Amino acid sequence: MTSQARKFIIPILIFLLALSLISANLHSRENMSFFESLVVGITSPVQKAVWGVIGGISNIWRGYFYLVGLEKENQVLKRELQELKLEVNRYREAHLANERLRALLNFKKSIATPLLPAQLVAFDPAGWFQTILIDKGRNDGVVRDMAVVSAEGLVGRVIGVSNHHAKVLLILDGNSAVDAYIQRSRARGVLVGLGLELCLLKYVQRNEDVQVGDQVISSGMGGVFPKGLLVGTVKEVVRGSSGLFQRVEVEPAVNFGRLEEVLVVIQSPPEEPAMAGTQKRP
Amino acid sequence: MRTFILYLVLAIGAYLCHTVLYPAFLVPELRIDLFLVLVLHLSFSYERSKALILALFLGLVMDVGLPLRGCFYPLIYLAIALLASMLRQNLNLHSRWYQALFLGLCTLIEGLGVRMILGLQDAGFAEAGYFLRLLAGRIIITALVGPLLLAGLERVDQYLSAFIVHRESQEV
Repeated sequence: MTSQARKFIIPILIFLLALSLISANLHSRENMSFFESLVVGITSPVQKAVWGVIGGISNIWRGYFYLVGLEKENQVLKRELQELKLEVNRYREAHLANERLRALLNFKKSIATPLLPAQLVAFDPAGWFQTILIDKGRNDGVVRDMAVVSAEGLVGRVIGVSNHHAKVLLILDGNSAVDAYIQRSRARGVLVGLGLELCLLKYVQRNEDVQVGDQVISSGMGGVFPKGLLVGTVKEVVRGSSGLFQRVEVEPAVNFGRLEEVLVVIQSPPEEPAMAGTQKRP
Repeated sequence: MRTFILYLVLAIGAYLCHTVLYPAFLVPELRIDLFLVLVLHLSFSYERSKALILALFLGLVMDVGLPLRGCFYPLIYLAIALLASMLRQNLNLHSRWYQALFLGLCTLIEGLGVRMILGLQDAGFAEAGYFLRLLAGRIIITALVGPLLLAGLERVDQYLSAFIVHRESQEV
């Protein structure tokens, strides 16, 4: 083969390979592909370790560094104090973890379906979407379309699984859709993500009673998310001069920036796919 | 082989940066696509087939965690790698201005590619404003910081080739 021919044939072959991968993956994304599982399997222990280091550094930063400003003559006392502070910080961290786990346990008791605790491993690499990776997968009984919650409220749903990991689409993503209603007035709508710690309750009719501070609850329609879970709080309501619907911005109940542990709702997902625009868009 | 291992390590580092460090420390608008910088560096510095193979690999890695059906990042990166390797004869690659411009352009292509793919899958962003803000922020930050990263990668290449020459001369 001449070098000129090779120059064209190799790129064409690579593009054909990419296209065949696309067509192979278009049919089903229920399970992660071999390659995805491999990448996740290799990188997740490192990711977990890095998360641990980041948590440790931020704890030291919060509990230790910004306190350093004492007089020079108190060096010895300061060192002692710092050591004690580090120790207190360790206890505080353990206490906070205890509180978080206790809250999760209480929440677990309050919900009828069995729940599987999982830890966050990583976020979406591209940054365009709002997905996370958790450390429980097919071997733990996790399947696609299971709901993921935390003690604060709804987190998202499983969109892909490997043996030991699962990919979760957060309710913050524009492709997520949760059938929900206002707890006080029972006004219904579909909650979609706006990307940045904010959601939009769409299709709420103009004449419905919605006020800032109202709590938004999952309706259970579609069978993916359990009914009655707290989704968020109404942050802003805009009723335009025209149009059928009002714009309702919702602040999620879950602080996604500090998400560490989640619970997977272990229940069989619905057999039939839900209607477009309800809970199974991507 | 050494080059491949080096870029594999860099890719894993970039992946960890994207999945752990960025979410912890940076807002989405300020996240540079390190894989894109790697793809462009490979396209500028290596022969086309090598650059395309590594672009395909990096695209597959990037696809992990995306809520999309199909492998679309490989296609986006392959297109960008092909474009860069075709244009490298006509670009003044030593000029940081050209690099900034080209990095910005490639970020725009990547963003539009993602938007188009989402559109084809009947998915997307709830509001176009969010996507445009994200895209604009990324174009600016990539154009500003990307050339520095490219310079760093060029330096790494120089060290690597110097190391290889040193080892070979020692062996001789």
